[in-house]
Amino acid sequence: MRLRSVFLALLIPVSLPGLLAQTASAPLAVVEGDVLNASSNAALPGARVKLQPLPQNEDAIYGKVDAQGHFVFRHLNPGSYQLVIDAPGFHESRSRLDVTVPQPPRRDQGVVRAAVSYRGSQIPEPKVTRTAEDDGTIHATVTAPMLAYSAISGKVTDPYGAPLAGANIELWKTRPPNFGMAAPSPGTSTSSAMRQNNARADSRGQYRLTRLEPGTYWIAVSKSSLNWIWQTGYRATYYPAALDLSSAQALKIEPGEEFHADIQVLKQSGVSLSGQLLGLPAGKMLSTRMTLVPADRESSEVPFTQGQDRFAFTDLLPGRYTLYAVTEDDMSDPMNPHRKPLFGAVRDVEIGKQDNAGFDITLEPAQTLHGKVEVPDGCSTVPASIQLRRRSRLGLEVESPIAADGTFTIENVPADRFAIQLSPGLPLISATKGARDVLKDGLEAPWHDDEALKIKASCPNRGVPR
Amino acid sequence: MKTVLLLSLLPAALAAQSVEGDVYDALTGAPLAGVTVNSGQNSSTRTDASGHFHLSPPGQVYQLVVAKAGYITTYKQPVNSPAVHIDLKPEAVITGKIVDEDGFPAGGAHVQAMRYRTINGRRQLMTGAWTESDERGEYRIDNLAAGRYYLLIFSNDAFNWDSRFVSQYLGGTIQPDDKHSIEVKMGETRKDVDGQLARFEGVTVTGRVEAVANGSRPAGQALNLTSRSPAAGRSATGFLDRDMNFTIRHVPPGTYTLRFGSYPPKAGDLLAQVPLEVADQDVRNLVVTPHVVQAIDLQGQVKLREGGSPGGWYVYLRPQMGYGVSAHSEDDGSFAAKGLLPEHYAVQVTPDRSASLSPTPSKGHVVSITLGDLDVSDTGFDLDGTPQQKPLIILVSNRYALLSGTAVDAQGAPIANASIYFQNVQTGRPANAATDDKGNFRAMLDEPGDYHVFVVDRDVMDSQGQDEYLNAHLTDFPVIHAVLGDNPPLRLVRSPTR
Repeated sequence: MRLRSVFLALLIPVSLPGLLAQTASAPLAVVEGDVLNASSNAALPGARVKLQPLPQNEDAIYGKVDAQGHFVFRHLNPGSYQLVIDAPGFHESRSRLDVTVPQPPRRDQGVVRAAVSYRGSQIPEPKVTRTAEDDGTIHATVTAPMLAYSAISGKVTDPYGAPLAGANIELWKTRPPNFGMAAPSPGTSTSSAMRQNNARADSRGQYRLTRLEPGTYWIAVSKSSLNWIWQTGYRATYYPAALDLSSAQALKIEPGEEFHADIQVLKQSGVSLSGQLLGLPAGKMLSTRMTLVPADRESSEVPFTQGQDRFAFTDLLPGRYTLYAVTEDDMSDPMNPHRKPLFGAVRDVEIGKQDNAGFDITLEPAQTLHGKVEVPDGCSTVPASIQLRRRSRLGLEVESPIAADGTFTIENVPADRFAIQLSPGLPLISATKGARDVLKDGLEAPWHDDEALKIKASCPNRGVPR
Repeated sequence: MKTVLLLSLLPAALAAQSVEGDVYDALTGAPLAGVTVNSGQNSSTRTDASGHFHLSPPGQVYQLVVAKAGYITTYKQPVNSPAVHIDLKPEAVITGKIVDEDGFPAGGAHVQAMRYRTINGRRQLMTGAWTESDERGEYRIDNLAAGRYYLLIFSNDAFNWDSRFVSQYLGGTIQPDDKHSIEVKMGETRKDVDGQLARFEGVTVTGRVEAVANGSRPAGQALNLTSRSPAAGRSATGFLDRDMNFTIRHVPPGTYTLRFGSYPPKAGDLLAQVPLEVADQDVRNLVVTPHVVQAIDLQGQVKLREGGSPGGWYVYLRPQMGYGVSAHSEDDGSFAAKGLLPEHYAVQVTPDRSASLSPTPSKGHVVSITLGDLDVSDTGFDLDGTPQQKPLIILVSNRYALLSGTAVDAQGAPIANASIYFQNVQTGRPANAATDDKGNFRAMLDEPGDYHVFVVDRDVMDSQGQDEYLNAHLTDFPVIHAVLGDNPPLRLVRSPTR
């Protein structure tokens, strides 16, 4: 207590404007420190240091360490700074440094706050000691251990041994305990939380994943839609030559390690499914887009094709699939969300071990859906629109407004399987179309009845009515 | 995008049922094995040891994509001939290391190989290919066509360290510099093209954002200065403090738009866009007044040059990011594009050929697109959120200048399977046709006028090498004059020296 009052007595005159001019040459704050290699505790020469005053409306102050890894900044104004240390080959160190009156004033250990801190990061934080000198100068002494980063690099080749230019290499990292996610599979969005990084192979097939922290990793060559020219005939492959994570090799990477991992992607030895597209009007150049969605597994490989009078899927793996086809008006721009579905089809199909060249599909016209949503009387929330979410993902969701009396009409409903959703999202009690329980079985188009879609929703603030 | 357009615009006559051919190295003439030949319908094959391939996909083949690592991917439209001859050009590569002024590696550097191209008669610096440097500053731009390149470099690492490391060209200049341009030949790998980023002090831009009508105080939001010169690099950024003041430091001289608000804009957002000229003096005390973004509708009219109903047309307005707005014209040509936001929109117009939304199919081509007095067909247009009084006028025509003829060599032998390329002398707009195995061709030119003619065999002219090729062959044939409707047949005799 006594110490603090002494300190304040010393400090107050310094903050008076009149005195500030007299003491302009006096140092107000000093920041000095040592930069170390965290693995060896040896001094790290060749680093550079930045102090960025916060908030960031002033220029930063720059410096370099000497041969002993030491740096000094003098004549600083007290305040908050971002301290950034950069050394080639090491993770950047970035922390917030408060160069202010320490509490208690004389000695204050380790009060640096890391500005960037994320779960599981092993990048060490600098330690700081702050003291107030008798002349009022604030002195901050920093010890900054730097962690060397690791890298994984190598070459990706196709099943024939030629470079796989443009290949997408995904880096997966160990899940922290109790993270509660499904096993990662390349390309799927459900487990992307643990996908750390990715790299693209150059025209020699070479890639480099870098600035890695030590840890356990897997790498996989996925089938990205961007390099479709190259992506026929091979499968998403985990290092060194596995189709799934359980048989992939975990890479335990040490600090500063450069791990070399060449990957030859596995050849796809699937069968084909092809046939004619029937039922389209003659004389119009209409293109039909088709996809095969695996029925029994979440897969990053969803086959896609398009055709005018015939279609073909190749390189298929055995299993149960649902085939979705949609023919849209002839706008030539696939980015255009307003393409109108004209015809379509949905078929369940079992892919065996033999090619099937006679899988003809009759496309049926898009239909109009009438329906009504019933909400309990006096409900404060009334649904404004209904959404049909497409299982095929062949286009945008179908959405339509709901009139004040609860009725709706949706034109141009494409062939697809749909989940129904109201907006704002009211809980559904029942949804039926004729004899079909849409809530349980989903809505499927085309349908072959004239029944309306009848939906009963409950009121979120009143619960389920009787 | 381009390939999809080609697919749908190609007449059915150009499609082949099954196709075979041979692939060669354009530099050595040697047959190329292991080349992927893809017809874009999940149907692909590889060339054998003698460079030969055979592809019989289930549908018709409109276009072949021919690719091999280390070569520039080539797109080829098969014609009805016994075998397609394809020359693959070996890629050129530029590789090196970028450091900053302190000698530290410039990691995460976006290195863009820019080159001059003439688009519809205008010479512009455009991106050829780009890459990102690794954390050691090392970069490798591959898949380059032969030509002269200017490297535009922006390093995230260097900029985050010191915002004076602005986007700059190799050699440390803000503007492209011939002295530091790199000329590469077909198949050449140019190594050690190293660069050192220079610090640019620039000037400081300060100001404040006025209190907003709806009373919200969006402190902490970013303001961006985006250069309006296509040859310049990245934007500079500043943040609003609690008192709604902002400071953007180290802004190099140039023409900018100062933008406040999220991008892409949404209705209800706050937005301000101020044009700003920056020279060698600080710009102080700017006052930026945001307004609430409102979606507006734009009325338009498709007009048939020959008179009468133009039939139905699709009009697609595409912003720089996100989904666009499409409209379909009525039989009288009127249309309304709804829900447009303050954005730059490019215009794309296509006829409703299959009459999916119109009573009768339409056909033809676009002659001009004007908004007020401005021709916006190449440039697109900016909307600032205020209601647009002027309609978008799209002039279309269903008449063409029809050209036919034969291409022969000096001995009178037909030049088969060649491209005939036409370039309008005044506007630079191109058109092309292909010869059959007897050297005959037919072409439909959108516009009458004077045209340069080029006979291009094999695949020597891909999109990237186009300018150099056309300049070198400008006088191979005399300029022709084409009128609307039928024209007298052409006989193109190619001299042996060329």
